[in-house]
Amino acid sequence: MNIDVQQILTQMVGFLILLWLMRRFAWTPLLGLLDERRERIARSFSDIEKEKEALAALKEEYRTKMLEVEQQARLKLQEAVREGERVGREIIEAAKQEADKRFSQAQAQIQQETEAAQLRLRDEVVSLALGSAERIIRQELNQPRDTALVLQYLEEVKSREK
Amino acid sequence: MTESAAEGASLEAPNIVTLLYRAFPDSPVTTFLHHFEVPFFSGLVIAIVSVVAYRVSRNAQRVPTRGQNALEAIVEYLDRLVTGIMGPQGRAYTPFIGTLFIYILSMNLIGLVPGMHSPTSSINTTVTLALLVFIYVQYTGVRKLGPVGYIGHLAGNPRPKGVMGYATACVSVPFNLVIHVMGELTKPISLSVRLFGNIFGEDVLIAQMVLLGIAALAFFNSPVGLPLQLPFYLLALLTSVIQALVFSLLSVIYIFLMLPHHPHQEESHTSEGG
Repeated sequence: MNIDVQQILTQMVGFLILLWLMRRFAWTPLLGLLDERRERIARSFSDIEKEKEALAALKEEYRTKMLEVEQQARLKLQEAVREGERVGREIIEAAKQEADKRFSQAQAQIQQETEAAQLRLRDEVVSLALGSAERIIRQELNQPRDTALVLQYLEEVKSREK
Repeated sequence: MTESAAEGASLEAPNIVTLLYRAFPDSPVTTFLHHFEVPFFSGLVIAIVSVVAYRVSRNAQRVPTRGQNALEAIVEYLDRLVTGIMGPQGRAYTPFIGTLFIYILSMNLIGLVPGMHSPTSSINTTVTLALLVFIYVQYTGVRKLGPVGYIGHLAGNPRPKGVMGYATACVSVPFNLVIHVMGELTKPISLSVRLFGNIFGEDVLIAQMVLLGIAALAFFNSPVGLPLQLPFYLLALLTSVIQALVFSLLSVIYIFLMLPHHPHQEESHTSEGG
């Protein structure tokens, strides 16, 4: 267990060489690498947190916009319903007016046709009366019979009109 | 030294250098190697550790390979060990402490390889390491505290106030100075003797168990003995790691105690000392 100064100095030099080599090849590059990796991981986590926050904000914005869109859609739907009802009312009104107009036209036309028919009938009655008169005159003039005939004829005409 | 080597050879298992020397006692090479047996194995450890460190860190990648991963784990563990005690300022001391740990551990473990010898089972190696730590600690003290602060630290950082304070300081400073200097000087002694004793004892135990194993089967003229040393190999593995860790941790603490303290650290240090 003797202390040998020569050995001690040799070993000191050996250790100092090892220290230099390790500092050069292990500690400096690897600690730098570890620090860099640690920073990168911390940065990544920070980025992830930021992205999460941005995503949450985006989600909130999306939700708000969706609510706005839903609100707008609801309003538009209500407006469309109102518009539809208005258009419906207009259509019904127009249809009523058209129907009234057509009814009036039809009434007028019926009136005209009735009048025309009455005229035609009258003309026909007149011509028939004239024809009957002519026949009666040709046969024999007999007042009561003629009167009866005319009356009978008028009855027939009335019944036809009905 | 040759005598000590011969003493050691009788207690520890023979290594490759001893065997060569026994085979060729007159060769100048074997004589030289035998003379520098311990530095030879230290040099071997230095070479192995350097080559491994160089090969692994030569192409250090962001995504580490298996070897790089292992070395990074060791580096990170040691860095955390140092910075865990000293705080962020400890990063500056990680290379020294880390190298010390790896070197001591490798020297402890190489003795477990048949034909090799633990340089730490020699007092010269452990004294070397302890002296290096001692010099580094004192150098750190002078560098961080300044020459006056360093002497003040050794004198117990006196801050006298008033006449009584100065009178007390006149008595306490020399007393503190002597105690602190003695304390600083005993640190390398305790460091070196602890490591040497443990590793030497462990190597001797293994060598004696090997001899006992051979003796146990001597009746049958067996060329191979009973492996009685195996349990002690496991013990030696544990002791090697623990001793390297103890040496490194104490070195960290010695450096830390030499650094300028904040008030709360000063208080805790004083209370621990008390």
